[in-house]
Order: sequence, then structure tokens, then C-alpha cells
Amino acid sequence: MMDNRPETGFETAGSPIRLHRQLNAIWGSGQGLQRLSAVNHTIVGIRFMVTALVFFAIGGILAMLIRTQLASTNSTFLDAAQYAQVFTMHGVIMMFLFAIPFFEGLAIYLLPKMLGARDLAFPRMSAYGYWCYLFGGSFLVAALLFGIAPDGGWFMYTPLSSRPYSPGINADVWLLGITFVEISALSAAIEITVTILKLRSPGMSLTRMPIFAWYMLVVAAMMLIGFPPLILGSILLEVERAFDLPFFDPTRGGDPLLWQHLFWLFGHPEVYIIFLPAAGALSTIIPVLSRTRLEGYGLIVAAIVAMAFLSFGLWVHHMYTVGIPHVALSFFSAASALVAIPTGIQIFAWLATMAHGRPQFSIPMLHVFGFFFVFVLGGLTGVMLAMVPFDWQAHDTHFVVAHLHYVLVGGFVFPMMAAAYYWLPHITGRQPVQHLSKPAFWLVFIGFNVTFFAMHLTGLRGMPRRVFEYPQEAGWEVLNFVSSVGGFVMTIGFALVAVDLIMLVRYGRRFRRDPWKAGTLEWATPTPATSYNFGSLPHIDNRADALEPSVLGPDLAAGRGYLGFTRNGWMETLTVDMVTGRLDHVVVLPRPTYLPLWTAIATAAFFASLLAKLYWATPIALLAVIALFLLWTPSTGLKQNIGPLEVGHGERALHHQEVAQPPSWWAVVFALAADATLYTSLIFGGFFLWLSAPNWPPPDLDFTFAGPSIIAGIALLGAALSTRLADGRSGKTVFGLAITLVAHLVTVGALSVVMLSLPAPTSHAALASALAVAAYVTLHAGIGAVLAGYGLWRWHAGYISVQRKLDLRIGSLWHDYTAIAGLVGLAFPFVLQSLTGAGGR
Amino acid sequence: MRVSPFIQILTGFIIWSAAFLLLYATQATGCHLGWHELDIGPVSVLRLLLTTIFVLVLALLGGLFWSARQVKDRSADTSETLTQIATTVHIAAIVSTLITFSGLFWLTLC
Repeated sequence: MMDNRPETGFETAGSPIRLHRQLNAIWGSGQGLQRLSAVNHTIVGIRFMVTALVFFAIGGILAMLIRTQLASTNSTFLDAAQYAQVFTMHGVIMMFLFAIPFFEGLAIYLLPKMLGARDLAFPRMSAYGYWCYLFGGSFLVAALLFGIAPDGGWFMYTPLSSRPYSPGINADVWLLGITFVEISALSAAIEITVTILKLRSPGMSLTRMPIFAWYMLVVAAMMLIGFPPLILGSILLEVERAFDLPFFDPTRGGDPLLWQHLFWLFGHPEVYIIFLPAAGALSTIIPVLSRTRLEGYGLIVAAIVAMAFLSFGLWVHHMYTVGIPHVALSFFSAASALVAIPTGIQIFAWLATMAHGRPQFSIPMLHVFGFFFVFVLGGLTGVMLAMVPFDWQAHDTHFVVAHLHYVLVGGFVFPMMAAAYYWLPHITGRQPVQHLSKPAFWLVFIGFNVTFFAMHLTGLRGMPRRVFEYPQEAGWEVLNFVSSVGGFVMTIGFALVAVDLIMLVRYGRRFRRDPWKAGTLEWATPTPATSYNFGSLPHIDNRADALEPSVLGPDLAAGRGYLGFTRNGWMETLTVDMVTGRLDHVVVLPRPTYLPLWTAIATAAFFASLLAKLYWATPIALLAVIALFLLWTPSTGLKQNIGPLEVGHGERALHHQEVAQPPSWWAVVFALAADATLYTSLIFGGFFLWLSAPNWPPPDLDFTFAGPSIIAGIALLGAALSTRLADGRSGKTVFGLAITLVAHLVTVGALSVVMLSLPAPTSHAALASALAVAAYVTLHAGIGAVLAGYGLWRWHAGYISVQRKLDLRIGSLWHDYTAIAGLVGLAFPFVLQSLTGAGGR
Repeated sequence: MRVSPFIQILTGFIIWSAAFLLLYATQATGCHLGWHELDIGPVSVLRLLLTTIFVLVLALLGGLFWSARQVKDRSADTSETLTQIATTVHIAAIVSTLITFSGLFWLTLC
């Protein structure tokens, strides 16, 4: 019998140079315009960081405009409308376009190298995320140039941002632009989670992971839970503005406080989402520069887990003054104070590490000291603001502005400058020259403290935030002038840092390997790193911050580790068991492609059509996005069973298409977790309105659509059950998928009837909520139909067998989730209707 | 029975989070429906309900902590370290529960 299996043997290079050439030919991204097709994590990570720094510069210029305006009383430098756009965009850029993308870029660049992998789990997804970030951010900045930038504050409180009070498209730019950028953040979160859990070198158990990986794992999990409420809030507000569905309108059963809850459910964890990657960098840098190991590794892991949860339990500490009962305030106040404890544990662990080592007073360490001074002060004022009586006094004053800058600049900017000086040699292959580094640091440090310490005092003297002018008799002018001078000194400092870093890149001293004598794996790669990171992958038998890169690096480059060869032109890397680090399977990654760029352009068209109110174009753009995503899939499929593959060291492992739970399966699990968070927020939002909003119960509420609801319920269950018939065997698979497809289409039809049956959804928030839940379930059933159809196509194209049924398993996850969410959604209007008789005000 | 280390590490604070939402939702619902105005002896129905939830959550956390301490299989290096981390997180969750929700014994409910 003919053996139709593809050639799965491997070709040994023979010499390190030949291995390098062979791997580079497979993993390289091309030159010129071909660079637009790059999906390599090193390139994408650097792009993220450089783009974030450009946005940081724009945000900094806006900050200077603010300080110029506030330097004197009754200034005419900016008018009220211009000032509103400037301070809103300063916050938006620094939070959404600088801080998050910068640490994402750092993680995307570093993690595979630290974990001993050749790339991230989904390189095309990170490239797509980058383009979404670039296009979404460019939308926002372009709006600023045209004078239509958001102007309702970076938190966009309703009703100020609702249609009657913000009739232009300024608020729409924020809502659509931020949602666009959030796609990037969520895709990065899934990418990072799966990469850390699965794509490690064999032997790297959870407890041998470098501490930075623990930090990023916790951060990525927080992003999966924290960002969906903001995305939901943005969708609901945009729907209210575009189609008049009254989720936040108190005259029709909505409530502006619903926006604040959804926003701060994201907004407060966001502070820790920004701080933790910086803390991860500090936990990596401080031991190296102190020539010792990190103290309290286990305690730090416990602290960051506790911090992640506690940070979600204090969102209302931004809302102490909205009229919440004492006992509820006490929950949030206690959680706000408690979160200081795990933060303090980390600070004491770093101090202990330095005390037990021999700190080296290099430039990164100078920025570490900047962090300690500034962040601890910000933390102390944070504890003050956690206390309800003090917060009532300082609420919405410049004291709060000073506190948040001490926390964010201390907790993110100083650590990231330390990280830049520490890891730029890895990116460039050159070490700091250090002529400008020290004066640059001191200008930033002194300028920052002058600016924001004075702002505590203006705040305590009653100056409210977000005002564009103040009268002379208020007595705030001297302090504001001092703040403004400090701001300009700080800006000069940042300009010097930029010049210093450019000098490093251009004229820095070259070095061989591991200039800091670090023990983490990224320094075992060549510097600058090659496209494939490692000539071969290591076996880790020690904690991965106590390795010897100078010994390990040449060994891996010579191909003496795992996968020290090429095979079929495949881009291969290994996965492990999540906990033990035991070798699991081989992942074959996709080659460079323009598809992420085209898909991001189609996604941009989708958002642009909504922004321009060209609603006829929206479905076309959506179909283009779906079609382009489907085009991603053929290149990663197998049409034959190939069995175990040699991976080196005499070990064999299966191809990822032939295992039960490869990275893509886990990605769908995490994506559904984020999806479920959004859905839970939507359901809770409906009940919150019943509990708290004025103008309830709604008049004449009558959800009389039991018939279509029962049909939809049966169809949803049918879709979930019938997909179990599809097991990769001939006959049953087609039959099962066909039933699933039909069942989803029936659900879509029945729910369309339900939505059309809802009387006047614009009349009251109860009806709007019911419509939103029905639309959510309909969308999921529609995607379920696409996935069932996709399964049928993959079956007929030969990508599925009993051994290769990943597509079916992923589809099954979706159908099961849709069934559960759908049944909850179908019950929602009836439960809401029954509750409306039991209360209301 | 072997429990996934992820579950061991996360259980305590998942319960804390669930308790947070449950107590906050119960308090808001009780105030909306007027349960704070119905008395059972010296306390209102709402305060009694919140206190019961609080005690049950503490008992659940304590029970899980105790059972986690009984696990004998700590032979592997990985298992030992993860168990230590899980124990620390569990203690933090119990202390957080006590501090976060103790106000429901004396503060104004609505």
C-alpha cells in the first residue's frame, strides 16, 4: 500500500552557521514592503513599544498644553471646549494608547524568549492586534487634529456623554475608537495567557517559571475579566447614542450610574493591570542588579494573586459620593485598604532582595529608586483616599489627580524606564553609553515631584479637577505656576531620556552575551535576537531565573537542545503540560502573511462605517472580517494523520492538530471566559436598573413571546447535543454538523421574531435590556451557524479525521456556551417582568 | 483526590469574590424590597440574612483551608511550592473576608 503521509523526517544542519541559515530562511520576515506581512513576535513586540512611545510623546505634548493653560488665572491660551478635548485625550492616550500597549509590546517581545519558545502561540493574532491598535489609536489622534476628539473626560460619564449633552461625534470617536483598541488588548491577553501556560521549554514547571511570567499570567487573566465590562458599556452607550435605546437615560428607566459601575469595573483593576507588568519587570531587574536571587518568590506569587482579586473588589471607591449605603461603602473601603498589603509585600521583598545582595548603582537601578520614592508616596495617598470620610473631602479635586499620577508614573513610567535601559541592549545588541542618562533621570524625577506634589496642595485647598480656569481670589495661582514649571522641567527630562536612548541605539557599546550577568533565558538568545530566538530549545532543570545564559546560549545555538533541526519548512516550537512542564506536543506556527493586516483594515472599515453612520456598509464590512478570518485557517491544518514526530533527545511528540487540547483550544476557552464576563455584566446591568434606576416599573411591560422562546430554547439544546455526533467519523460528522447548522439557523429565526415582538424598545430600559440580551444570543447562534458550516467545509476538504478533530472540538465549545447563554437569555425577560411587580420607585 | 494547583490557588479568592457579589446584591435587593424594615427579634431580616451568608462563607473558606492542609501528596518539588502558595492565598482570602464584610454587623444597611 502507498504511504501518503507527508515527509516528517528532519534534516540535521551539521554546523551552527548552517542551522542558523536554515532556520532564518524559514522564520525570517522578508524585507521592504514584505515587512507588513511580519507576524514574528520580536518584530510585533518592537512595533507595539515604538508606537506606544509615539503616542506617549503626543500625550505628553497635550499635558504641556494643560499646564500652560493652568499656569495663571483666567488664562486665554485654550478655551473651555479645546481644554475639554485636550485633557480628555491626554488621559485617553496615556491609559489606552501608551501604558497598556507598551507593556503588551514588552510581554510580546520578551515572553517567548524567557520561556524558551520560538514565538507566541498565535503570531498572526498578535500582528492583527497591533494593526487594530495602530488604526484605532490613529482614529483618536486624527479626531484631535480635526477638532472632533472626545471631550467628556477619559471616563466618559453619562449623561454628559449622552446624545442630548454631547450631540457631535466626539463621544462616538471615544466609544468606537476605544472598543477597536480593546480588541487588540483582549487578543493580547489570550495570546499571553496561552503562551505562558503552554509554550514553555520542557522541564519548566509552573514553579520554575521566571517571575515575570507569573506577573504577566495574572495580568492577562485580569484583562480577560476586566476589559469586557468596558466593552459592554461602550457598546450600550453607542447603541443609546445611535439608536436611542435608553440604558443610561433616567427619564426612561436607565441610570447614569450603570455606566459608572461598568466603567470602574474595568477602570480600577486597570490601575493594577498597568502596575503589575511594571512590578514584574522590577522583580526581574532588581535581583540581577543586586547580584542575588529574588527573595520570597512564592510569597510574591501569592501576593499578586490576592492583589488581582482584591483590585476587582474596589471599583466603587471612585463612586463614594454617589449615595451608596454605609454598609456597601464599607465593603469597598475595606477592599481598597486591603489591596495595599500585597503591594507592600512586594515592596518589602524587593527591599529584602537588595539588602541581601550587592546592589549595582547602574542607570536601571536609578530608575528603580525613582519608582520606590514616587510609588510609595502614591500608595500612601491611595490609602488616604480609600477612607470614605477623607475621600468625601478630596473627591474630584487636584489631590486625586496628584495621587493617580504618583501611582501611575511611579508604578509604571519609572519601572518601564528601568526596563528600557535594562532590555534595550537585548533589542539592539548595544549597551548604554550613560552620558545623558543621569541628568535625564534627575530632570524627570525633580520635575515630576515639583509638578504633582504641588497639585496635592492645590487639591487640599479645594481646586476641582477638569476646570480650565480659576479666579485670582481662589489663591491657587502660585501653586499652579510651580506645577507648570515642574511640568516643563519633567518634559525636558523625558526629551533627554529619548535622546539618550537614541544615542544608545546608535552609538552604544557592542557586547557578546548577557551584559548584566542575568539568569533568565532571554539572554541565551543572540543579541539582537534572531527571528527564531533559539537554534534549539533547552531542557530546564532549575528555576528559570538562575540559569547560565553564557553557557546555555552557545549550546542551544549549536542545535544541542530540542528541535535543533529543520523539517518540511515548518515553524516548530514545543508545548508542555501546564503544571509539571512535561513535554506535551509540537506546535507548527503559521508563516508570515498579509491576512492580519487585511483583516484589521476590514475591522477598521466596520468601525468607520459606524462612526460615519453609514449603517448600510456595516454588514458588508462584518462579512469581510468573517471571510478574512476564515481564510486564516487552511494554512494551519493537516490533511493526513502523521503520528508522533522526533523532537530531539530521543523524544517524540504529536503534531498540535492531533492532540485534544492544543493552544487554539485553550484560546477559545479563555475567549469564552471573557465573553461570559461581558454577558454576565449585561444581565446584571438589567437587574441593576430594576434595583436602582428611577422610573421603574415600566408602564405596560408585556413580554408575550413564549412560543418563539420555546422554539429557540429547543433549537439551542439541539445544536449543543447534535454537535456531539460529529466525532470525525464518516457519516455521523456530516449529519451532526448539518443538524447543528439548521438548529442555529432556527434559533436566529425564532429570536428575530422575539426581537420584532418587543414593543417600542426605545421607550424604556427594560425593553432595551431585553432587546440587548436577545441580540447577544442571536449573534452567538449566528456565529455558531458559521462554525458549523466551517466544520462541514473542513470535513469535505479533508482536514478532519478521528485523530484530527480540533475544528470540531472548538466548535463544540462554542455550541455548548451558546446553549447555556441562550437559555439564560431566553429566561431573562420573563424573570425581569416578574420582578417588576415586586418593587420599583 | 488530586486537585489542580490552579484550583487550589484560586479557590479562596473566588469564594471571596462570589461572597462580595452575593452580599452586595443581597443588600441592594433587600433595601429595594424593604427587608430592612422587617424585624426578627432585635435584628432586621436583611441583617440576619447578610450575617448568615457571611458566616456560611467563612465556614466554607475555613473548611477548604482545613481540607487543603490534610493533603499528604507533597512529594514533588512543584507540588510542595504550589501548596505553600495556595495555603498563603487561602489565609489571605479568610482574612480579607473577615475585614471586608465585618461592617454588616453594625453599619446602616440602606
